[in-house]
Amino acid sequence: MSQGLLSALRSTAGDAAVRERIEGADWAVAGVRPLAVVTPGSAAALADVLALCARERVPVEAAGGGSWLNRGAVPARPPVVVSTAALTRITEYEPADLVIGVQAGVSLAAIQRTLGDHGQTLPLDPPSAADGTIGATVSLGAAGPLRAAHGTPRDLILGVELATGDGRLLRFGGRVVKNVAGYDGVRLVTGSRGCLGIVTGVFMLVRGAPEADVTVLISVAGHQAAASLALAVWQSVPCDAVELAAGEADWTLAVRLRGSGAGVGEARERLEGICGAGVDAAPGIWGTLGAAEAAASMHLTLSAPPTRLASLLAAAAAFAAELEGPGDGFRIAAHGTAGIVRIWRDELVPAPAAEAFPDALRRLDADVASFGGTRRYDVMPEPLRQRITDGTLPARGDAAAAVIAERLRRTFDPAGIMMAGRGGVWE
Amino acid sequence: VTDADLHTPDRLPSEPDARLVADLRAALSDDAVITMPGSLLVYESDGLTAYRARPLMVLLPADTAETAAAVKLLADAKIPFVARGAGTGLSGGALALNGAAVISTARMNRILDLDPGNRMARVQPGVVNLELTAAAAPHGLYYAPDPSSQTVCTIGGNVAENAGGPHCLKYGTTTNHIVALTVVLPDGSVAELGPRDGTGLDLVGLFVGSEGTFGIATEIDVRLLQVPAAVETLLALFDDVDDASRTVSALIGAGMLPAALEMVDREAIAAVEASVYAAGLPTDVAGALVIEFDGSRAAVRSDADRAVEICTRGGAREVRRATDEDDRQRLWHARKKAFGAMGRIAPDVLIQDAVVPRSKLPETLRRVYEIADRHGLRLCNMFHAGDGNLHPTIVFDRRDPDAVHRVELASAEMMRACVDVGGTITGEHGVGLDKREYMAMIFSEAEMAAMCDIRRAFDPQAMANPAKILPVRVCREWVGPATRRDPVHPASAPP
Repeated sequence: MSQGLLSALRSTAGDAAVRERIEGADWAVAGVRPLAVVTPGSAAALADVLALCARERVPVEAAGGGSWLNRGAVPARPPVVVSTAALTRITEYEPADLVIGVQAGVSLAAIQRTLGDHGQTLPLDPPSAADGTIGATVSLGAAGPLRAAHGTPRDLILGVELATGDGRLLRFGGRVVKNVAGYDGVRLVTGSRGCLGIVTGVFMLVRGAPEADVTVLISVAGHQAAASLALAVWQSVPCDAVELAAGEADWTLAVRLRGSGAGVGEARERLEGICGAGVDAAPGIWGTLGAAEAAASMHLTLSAPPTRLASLLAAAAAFAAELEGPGDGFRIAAHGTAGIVRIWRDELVPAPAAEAFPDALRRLDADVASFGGTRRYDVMPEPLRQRITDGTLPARGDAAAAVIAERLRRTFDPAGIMMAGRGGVWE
Repeated sequence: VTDADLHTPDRLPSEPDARLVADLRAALSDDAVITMPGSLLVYESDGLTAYRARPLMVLLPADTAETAAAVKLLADAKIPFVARGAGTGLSGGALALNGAAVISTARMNRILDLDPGNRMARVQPGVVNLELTAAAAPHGLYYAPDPSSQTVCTIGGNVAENAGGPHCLKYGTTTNHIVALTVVLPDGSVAELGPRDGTGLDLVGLFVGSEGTFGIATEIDVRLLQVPAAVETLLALFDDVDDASRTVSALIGAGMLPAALEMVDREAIAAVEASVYAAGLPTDVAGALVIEFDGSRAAVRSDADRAVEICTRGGAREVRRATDEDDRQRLWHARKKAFGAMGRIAPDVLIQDAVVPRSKLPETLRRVYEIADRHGLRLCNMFHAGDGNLHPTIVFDRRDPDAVHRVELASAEMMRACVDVGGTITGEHGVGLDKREYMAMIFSEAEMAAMCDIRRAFDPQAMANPAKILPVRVCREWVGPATRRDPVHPASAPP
């Protein structure tokens, strides 16, 4: 990195906030060592760093704790990693409002601890490392099993502060629960994966902590039966989460019931009426499952209307079976009410399977498309990624929408530095 | 509306070009193009009747293709357009400024697909909100957002305004229930926005609430919800309005999530009790809360028990619990019929819309009463207390210019009071024409400029509902000859 850029970064963010010599895999961006890691101490300083990088045309990697840097394409040029890790203040919390304002670097765990002290909770449980930040969660639009009852970040975020790719600090939305003043920049930014800028602060809806929180596990033989049962539960049991996970032989249906003691008791009776008695699990199981999924080295997501769940599961199972022996390495799980199936691996895909991967993926795509579903990947290690971006993916999307999206990107990031060459939302 | 240029009285829209009219008739049908001045009258204003502007013409396309054809012809002729649903908006958003054409969604009123298994429906924009719920009811489903105007307002209008309603407290506003949109963009091209648009951006979320400035949604995929197994409705009566608003905070702070939590004050109750909807409420109470829980039987019963306890502890004189559906409807009359009943009191009613953090309700409500008193105005409050969404409602007589002036001053002060405690200038009625100048209370120049850029991404030529939402000075394409002949009727007194 040029000494000029380095000293400019230091004078903008402060000496202590800029690290230049990054050793090993820490902060590597899809395997590429970054020019520097900058952790500005304020939103304003972070915006100034982006303004500087825009002037210098230096690519920027948006980061929180750094958990997601292994995702996406290998950048053509080494970026500067700009992290919100030093933005760790809870800026506003009035429990009587059921709203909390935090800086983007605050971890989900820290938010839950603060809320828990006041008998409240954030109903958001994305697959995440223990130190996963709210900024990353919002930027990725990431949600977990609780989406069945509480939706995704777009349903919970009331306001965002965004440092744009050219260094403006903009606030959209606010800290009230209903707000239609101006365009909905909150939803534009939520899920935009750092491609418009870096989220520096968030206001969120929170909820009262449930009086009762019960998780019931039910074992089911075969994906068809598992899907039918998940849909039956969705139909008649008020529940916060309905998850399916493929086990060695059987499927496990995990149902989370939360609410008042009386409400959960009634829901449990109904559940047992449909599924028979299950096995209770501690609520901690959800965090364990999420952390495992977040550590995946390869991760695909399939979506279709909820009633196509069985077809999605069949497609996922066929894909995994084609690449390896059954149960060998690939994990399959589903949000039972949302028509979302995830396929992932903890370990890298071994060489023989990698050879077959593009063909298997093409068949998976065709399979899923045949019943109106879609497929995307969230994590794809090199060199698998190179194989599948080599013209083998079918063209998708809407041409007019793509034009609008490109104009929006230019509006926020005119120099095109944000997540440059990383695939991001544009693939 | 303070821009002097909006009040320039010299130009009204000229006759539409005969060739254009012929082309539009060929693309739509003869009776789908209205140009007779007399027939245009009903399109001069929306629910905020103080502002009037006559459109150049009104078009009534029947589907996406006809809408696209009409918009393309208008774009070629450089004539801006305004989409219009039922015209129940309360912010002047559907006014055809700049000699714009109105594109009415009245003929696009079909439910295209109802998919009970997936709890989805695909509708045209002119479908009436309550009719969608009626169509879903046989399947045990309903459409959750329930603006007060739901018997007449349309899903398309709801999308444009991101409409709310009493039950948004638990279920969110329109944006939480829209999955995908087919939209006709301002150049006449068609885009499919949604999870499958391939952009990775939430363009649906951005489009919802854009008040017709991004184009026209011509097909709308909505999510439906299961009708809850049980509902419990409470009416808590208070002798002190402060106690009532503090109890709202107490209920929310206790982590309770009612389906609705509404408040009415003494003036509103008095108006309802004097009307045909009288619910038998004592008129000497200072305020009342309507609290509704829905869910499973056991859950709503225990929630309602707890709420009764919190209300009683909060100083409620009495808490009534609905015993059956008729009783429930009666309790709701106190809230739902209040606006109509206010109309009996004075010739003009101005309903304001602002939101504050819920813990700030008691102090904000005190400020609102104090402001009205100071300006010698009669005011009542009936609002979505659980959301902190105030609707100060002022009754006055527009023929009294001094009263009109005092209403204007008081409205601005109320907005300021809400913003000062961390609130916003509109929770569900939209900015439209009415609140453009208030935008600077809550957004910086840079933020408003960014919004102008966002609008430009959808509408580079400023053809769709120009001069709405943002102050005119912010968007450069609005500052020019086109805007200066902005023909708001000079005769109309703003409220």
